[in-house]
Amino acid sequence: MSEAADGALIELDDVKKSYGSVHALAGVTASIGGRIIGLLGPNGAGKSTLLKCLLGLVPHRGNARVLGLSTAQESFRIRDRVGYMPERDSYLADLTAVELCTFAGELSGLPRTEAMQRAHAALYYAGLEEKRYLKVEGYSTGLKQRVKLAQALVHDPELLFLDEPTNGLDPRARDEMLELIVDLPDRRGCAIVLSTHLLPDVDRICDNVVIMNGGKLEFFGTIEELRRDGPVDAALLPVYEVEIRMGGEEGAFAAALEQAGCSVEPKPPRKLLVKLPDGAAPMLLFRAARQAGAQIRHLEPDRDSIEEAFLRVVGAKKKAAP
Amino acid sequence: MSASGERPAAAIHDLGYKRYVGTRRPQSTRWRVIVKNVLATSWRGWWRMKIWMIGVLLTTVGIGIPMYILRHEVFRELQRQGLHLSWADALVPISFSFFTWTAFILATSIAAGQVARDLRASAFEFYFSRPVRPIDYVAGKVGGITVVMLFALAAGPVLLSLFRVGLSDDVDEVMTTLALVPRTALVGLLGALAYAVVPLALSALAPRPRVTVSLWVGYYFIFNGLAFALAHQLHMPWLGALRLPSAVMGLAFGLYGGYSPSGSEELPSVTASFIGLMAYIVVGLLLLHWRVRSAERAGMGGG
Repeated sequence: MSEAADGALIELDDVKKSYGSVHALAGVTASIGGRIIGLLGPNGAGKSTLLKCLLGLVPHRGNARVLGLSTAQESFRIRDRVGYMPERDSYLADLTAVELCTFAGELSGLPRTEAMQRAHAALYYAGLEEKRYLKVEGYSTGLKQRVKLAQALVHDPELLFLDEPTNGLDPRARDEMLELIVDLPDRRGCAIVLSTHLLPDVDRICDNVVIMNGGKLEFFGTIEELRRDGPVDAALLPVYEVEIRMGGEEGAFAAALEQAGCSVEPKPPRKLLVKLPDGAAPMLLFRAARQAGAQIRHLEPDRDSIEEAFLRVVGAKKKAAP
Repeated sequence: MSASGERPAAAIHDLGYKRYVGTRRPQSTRWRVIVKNVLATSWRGWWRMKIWMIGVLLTTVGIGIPMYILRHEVFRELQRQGLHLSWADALVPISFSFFTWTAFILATSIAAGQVARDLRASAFEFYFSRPVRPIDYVAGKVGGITVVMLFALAAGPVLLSLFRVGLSDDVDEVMTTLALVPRTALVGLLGALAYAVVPLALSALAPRPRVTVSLWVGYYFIFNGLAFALAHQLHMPWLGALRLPSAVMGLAFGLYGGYSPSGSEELPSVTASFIGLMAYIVVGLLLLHWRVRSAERAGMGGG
């Protein structure tokens, strides 16, 4: 892992970008780090504008730094150290995958021999070893996605921006792409910013999440924090899903819990959703079970799925909007 | 690795990856990488460039032979105008009328769809997510296509002018004819730049190569034909400088003594030709840069 990946990869201080009357970025302030960071948001949230700003492609107000470099003054040094995998097909007509990646490496400053060696290595890594001498324009969607990943990797970036890397892929190809991506921080020492609409992808491979909505950063934290939008310590979570096995009447456990101040919602056949009273610890559940003669088979904090958490973050904002 | 030797589809393998720690090419020289790429892709296939290069070679040889045979013959039409010029001298500027056709064909096959193909393939995202400025892209494309055009418009005439030096009978003639070599090279260079920049600028106007190639061909025949007809009808030879091949020919004949083989009113003067070519080059470069700059800003997707 690179040094940068251990600290803040991206620092944003009141970054604003407008297109006419549309505020694509409405004052974003954050310090973002991690191994694999998911960048989430509905269409028009400002994700692509943020990526453009981070690559120094569009002027913006406020300060932004990537890998400690200013996007306003050092955008070319940033682009030497950052890899970008675009969402859309982006290739050069008439070039084979090897030629494209070699060209990409040379444009990023590598000597020709080094660029060629690394092009072969990157394509091999992306699983294109047999097809690397074919022209990219004839590739299937899955192969094009792999070439886009390889060309983003060829110049040895410390940070990778991946824009919808699993778009258009069948389930198997999507699994393979995610496997490649999740492997990159360890094998190649680069951190990843994954911009996507596919929440299951984020859930599967990201450790941190940034959620944007309406040009604003609504959330930055770990996946666990997103699910609860609060502390990760499970002992502090107030709602639990409890699976029980009863020797006698099932309602006895629920009654015992309610007597202890919990609110209980049955989830047939043998589950209960229990909200503890303020300040109570989960041990209360076991006491109530012993009292009612119930056996707790399974107990877990009731957390939102990532979809629910995302909708909560984005939806809350929408409701708050006039 | 499975027992059959086939690797599982999702296997990750990186050939012993090590981080690159060497020096990187300075940012200001990245445009040269684009020049090399333009040349490499242009050289592919027979019909794009190679066959026309053979045409340039045959034309050069084809003009060189009469130059040798007629080296002592005086160009009679000019003699009537009081100029003493041999066929060997006159054939060098005349050769531009052949080479401008080769340049037109190369511009059609290589240059006129160049930027349009990049626009169609969203290649600007590929370029500009790297340390490449719009000016690097423009310099790389113009540089690459100009080198191709130099083969078409400068190599043949310069070889012929050197051959003319070799046909000299004495040292004085050598000195006189030697002075024509850099002039020929200058005409070739300006012509090559104009034949590179104009189709490239047109190719940046739309993301469809067929459309931009049609624009170039339409410009070359219709607009150029109109400029030629107007210059002739209105007896305003300077208007002929708007016709690309006439501007090259006007400059070539002007630098070789200020005459025209078939009537001076058909070709623009050296000054008009120079201004015409420079205007084409400057306007073309500005248009190309503006289009590339706009596409750079807009080319990274929405959302």
